[in-house]
Amino acid sequence: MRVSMIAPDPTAETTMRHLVAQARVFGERGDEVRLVLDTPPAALPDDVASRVVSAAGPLPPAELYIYHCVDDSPLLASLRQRDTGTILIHDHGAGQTLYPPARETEGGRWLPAHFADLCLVDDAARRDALVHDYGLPPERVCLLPGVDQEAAYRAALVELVDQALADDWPPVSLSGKPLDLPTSEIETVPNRAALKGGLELARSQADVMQRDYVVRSQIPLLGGLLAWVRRNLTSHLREPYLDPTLERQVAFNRTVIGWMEQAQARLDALETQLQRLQNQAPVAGEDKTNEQVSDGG
Amino acid sequence: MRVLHVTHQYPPAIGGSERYIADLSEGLARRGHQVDVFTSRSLHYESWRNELGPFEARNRVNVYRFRSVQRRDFHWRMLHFGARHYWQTRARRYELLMFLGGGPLCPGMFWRLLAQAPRYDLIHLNCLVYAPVAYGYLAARRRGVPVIVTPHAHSEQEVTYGLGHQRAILKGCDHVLADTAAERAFLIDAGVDAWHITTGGIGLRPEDYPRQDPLQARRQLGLPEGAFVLLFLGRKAEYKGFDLTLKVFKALRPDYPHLWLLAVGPGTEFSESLLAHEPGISGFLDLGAVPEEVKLAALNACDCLVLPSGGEAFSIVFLEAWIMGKPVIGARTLAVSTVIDQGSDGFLVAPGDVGDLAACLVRLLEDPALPRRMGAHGRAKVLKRYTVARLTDVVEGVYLRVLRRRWRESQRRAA
Repeated sequence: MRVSMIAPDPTAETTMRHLVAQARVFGERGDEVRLVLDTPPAALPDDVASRVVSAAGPLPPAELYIYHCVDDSPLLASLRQRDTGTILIHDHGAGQTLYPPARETEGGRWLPAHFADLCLVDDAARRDALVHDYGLPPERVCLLPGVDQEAAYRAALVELVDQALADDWPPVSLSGKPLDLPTSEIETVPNRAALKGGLELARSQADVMQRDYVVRSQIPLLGGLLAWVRRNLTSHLREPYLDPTLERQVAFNRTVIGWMEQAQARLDALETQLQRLQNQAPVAGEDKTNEQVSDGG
Repeated sequence: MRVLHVTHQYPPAIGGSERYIADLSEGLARRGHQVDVFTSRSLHYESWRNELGPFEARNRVNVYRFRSVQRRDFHWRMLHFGARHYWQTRARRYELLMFLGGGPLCPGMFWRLLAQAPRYDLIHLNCLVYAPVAYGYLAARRRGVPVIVTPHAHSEQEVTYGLGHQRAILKGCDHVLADTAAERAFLIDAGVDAWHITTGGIGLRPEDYPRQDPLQARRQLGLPEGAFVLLFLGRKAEYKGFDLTLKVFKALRPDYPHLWLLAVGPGTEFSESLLAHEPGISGFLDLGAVPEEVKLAALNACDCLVLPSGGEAFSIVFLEAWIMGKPVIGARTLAVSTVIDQGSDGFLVAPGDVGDLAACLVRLLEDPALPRRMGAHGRAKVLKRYTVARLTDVVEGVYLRVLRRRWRESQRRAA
């Protein structure tokens, strides 16, 4: 597979780390990797630097394009014309392009994530901004593990790319957020699965109407006529009164479940943040100890 | 890209879905895409009368109009008979009656679609409840052209998405564009694949909403300068909540004598009979149906927009109020609750709940800074999410994704 990684401004340290990590992941898989960079940085390792091509000409054709997103540029704008391949956009905090200022007229700044098949982000706050402020479907915004968690990063990236290339996505329930977290982290949170299962059950039972019910009669020959008479004898009650009342109940049920699912999603995000903070806590403690040691020394 | 939009009506016909497809067509054409529109020659859905010419180049969009079978009494009877029996039996024969009674039936459009569909990169169908979506879908599928649909489905009205052929179209299209997150959610519930449905929304052109001095607007409309003006904007139909608004206004007016209610929009039998029983309400001004510039003056003059409607799919008037920097109050229905951010840019009230609406209004009346703050949040939200440019971005992105998916499928077949 041919992979083109496009980074208009690769000088930021975060961009560099992702470019190098991803070039190695795909290189080790045997993919043909090209890095299209406006200004190739001097600090690139040799195995990655050998893959750099000039951004001056047309983009090299590829099956997979990964745009490392920074400020608006002709390189970034090329994704607005791309009707072949698969496009991933990776926002890792190096620029602000994903969050353009409010614009008053046509021709202002634009949101590259709308044009990509999948958007990768490094933190939950950015993901929330894309989903809640800009209306991106939550399934299309995926949270990657940190680049320093090498194994998890590699596994998540490869899984996402394979799914994107094959259009083979897991089924999505309304509260589902596939690939938010490594499975092990999800399992450490108690009762999450039970809560989700309960919500899904409630959603499946929200529609209390018996929509498949049909008035029938088993009586030979006259059955059709009898069923028709029965239907029309009850229609004056069903149509103006019973059906609208029950439809209101169904709408109410769905609204309540929608709110519960939003609350559940919020809870999930908070739990994720909490988990990350807990993971960071020992590291911070160690740093402090080291500082004390060096101060003492 | 070469894009074909298929829709039941197109401006100068008036309506939300007509405006949606026109904004989108013109937005894409401005970006250099070739956009053709196939539509009927009609201006009124009640009759589908052929009133417009066969072709018009309108703001860089080529609009081809086709003759439709006119809707007469027996079409309406067919539609109502079909609807009455379909929901009870779910029998396909009644569905056919609804399809034929609904219209617009344009045989010429169907044949032209079959003949010319391969000229386009993709076909976008607008408004699922009308017949052109069904024959546009058939033609696109027959000729192997990617097809996208914007259903404008109301969760409260199953007729907009729940017929057998409508469900088949929703599941069979390459992509579905929902107006709101709520619509997306219930369409996923109805079986549409979540990966093939995107919330597109509705867009405004901010330049169409110039802000003017509210005092000048009030003078123009004959409103007192120091008043707190409540605006009801829309048809004064029963489901829109006009009676509720009037009731709350009358209840609050004795305690807040500077409170005014300004009603803008055509009257109905319901509102006429309601107002006939209560002549000369102090502080109430009803302008009826008005031209666009008066509507803009009303939006500039008001302090808050109220539309506690129980049956809105989106309510573009909320966006119009926000773009003018005004807060809004709407009913907590499935669709509206995903548009208004409670307490941030407006309030959601329980449908039909007088006390809830009154409590929200009192909060706005008691805290003069609150309406300005909420209005500013609303304006920022519109500029961020609900402009025509942003809608065009979303749809253009969906088109490209659909084409790329087709490309991947062809690569896989070739491999």
